[in-house]
Amino acid sequence: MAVEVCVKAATGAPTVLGDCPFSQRVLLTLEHKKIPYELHLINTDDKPQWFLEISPEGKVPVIKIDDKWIADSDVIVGLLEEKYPDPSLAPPPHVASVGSKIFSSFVKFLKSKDPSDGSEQAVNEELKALDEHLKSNGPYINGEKISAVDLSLAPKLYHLETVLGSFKGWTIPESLSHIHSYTKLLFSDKSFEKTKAAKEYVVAGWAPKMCITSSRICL
Amino acid sequence: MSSLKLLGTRRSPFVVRVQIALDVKGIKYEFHEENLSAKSELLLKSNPVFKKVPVLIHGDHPISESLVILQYIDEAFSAGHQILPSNPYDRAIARFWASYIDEKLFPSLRGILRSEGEERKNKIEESIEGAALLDNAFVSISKGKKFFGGETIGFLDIAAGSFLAFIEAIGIVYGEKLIDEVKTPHLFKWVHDFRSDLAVKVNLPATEEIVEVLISISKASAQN
Repeated sequence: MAVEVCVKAATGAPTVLGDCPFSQRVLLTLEHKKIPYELHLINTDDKPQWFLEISPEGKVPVIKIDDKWIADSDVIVGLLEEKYPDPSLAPPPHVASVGSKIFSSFVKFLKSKDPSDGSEQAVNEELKALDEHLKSNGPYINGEKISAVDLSLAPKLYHLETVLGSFKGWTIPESLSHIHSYTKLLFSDKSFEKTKAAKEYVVAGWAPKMCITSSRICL
Repeated sequence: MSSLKLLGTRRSPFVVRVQIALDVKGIKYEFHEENLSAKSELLLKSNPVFKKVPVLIHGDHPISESLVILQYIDEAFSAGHQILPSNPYDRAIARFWASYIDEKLFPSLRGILRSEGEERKNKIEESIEGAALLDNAFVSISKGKKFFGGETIGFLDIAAGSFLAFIEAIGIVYGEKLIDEVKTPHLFKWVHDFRSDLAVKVNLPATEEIVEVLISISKASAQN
C-alpha cells in the first residue's frame, strides 16, 4: 500500500520536484527502503486548502503514516526506520553526527558579506573533517553500507555545491578527493537522480535569501 | 519521591528551560519525546487547555507553562539550590523580565520566521531593541555578578538562555546578530558564561540543528 507524501514543488513550476533538501531526504529514504509512495507536489507560494487542513502550519515534507500526517524530516525518517526496518538504514551512534555542521556552515558562508569573517574557512574545515572520515571509513559514512546519515547529507552537499558555485564561484577544493568521490557516488545513484531538483530550481530557491533587508545589496 | 515525567520536544526553548532547571537542581526525571503532529494521549490528557509542551507530571499532578513549572519545582523541591532569588523584590523583577521575554521578545523572534520583506525587517528591529532592553536590565539585576541570578544561573538566566540556539540560528539564517559585543555587551559576555554551565551544555540544542529547522521552515513558505 502506497504511503502518501507531500513535498515542495519547484518555485514557478508546480508540477516539478522542488528544492527542499529535507523533502529529498525523505524521498531518498522511501526509495532506498523500496516503500511504494504517492507523491503530492505542493506549491508553497499558493498552498491548496486540502494541504493546509492536513498540515496546518504548511510544513513540508509531511507523510501519512498509520492514518496520521507527520511533519519534521527527522521524525519521519525515524518512523520509517521503525515501521520498515528492512533494509536497515540506521547508522551506529558513533557516525550519526558526522558532517552535522556542514549545512549550517554553508548557510553562514552563503549569507556572509564580509570575506574575512572566517565563514569560508569554517566550510573548508567541516568538509576537510568529512574528507578525513571518508578516507578511513568510505565509501559511505558507515563504511560499505549506505545509511541515513548519507541520505541526509547528500541533498545538503548537492545544494552546497550548486549554490556556492553559482553565487560565489566557489568549488569544493580538489584536494578533498574523498569528498569528490563521495558526492560522485551519491549523486550518480538512480534514486538521487529521481528525487533531486534541477539545478536552476536549487539556485532560484536560495536566491531570495541573498536579499534580507532593503538596506543590503542584493545579488 | 513521587515520579517525575517531562513531556516535551528536545528543540523547544520552553522545554529546554525545564530540563536545565531540573538539572541545575539535581532532580532526576523521565523525558518523554513528543511528536507534535501526533500528540500522545498523556499529553492531551495532561494539558487539555493548551495541548502544548512542556508538561511536567509530578506523581499524579500535571503542571503546564514553562515559567509556572520552573517556579513549581523551586517550591516543591525547596531543600536544594534555589533558582529564584530569595528576596521578594528580586523575585518580582526576575518574574517581570521572564514575562517580558514570553510576551514581547519571543513573539518578535517568532515573527522573524513567519514574516517576509518589510515586515521581517520590522520584527528584526523589534528583536534587536528587546535584546538591548534586556542587556540594560542585566546591569542592575546581576549587581556586578556573572549571571542574572548572581554567581550561578537562576530563573531569569534559564528563561532567557534557553533561546540562545534560536537566537544564534536567526543570526546565521537572516544575517542579523541580535546579541553582539557592540549592541549588547553584557549579554555577549553572559552568553559565554551561560553556555559554560554543565546543565546548559547538556540540554541546549546545537545551533546547527536549529539552522536546519529555520531553513526547513523558510523552504516551506512562500517567498523565502
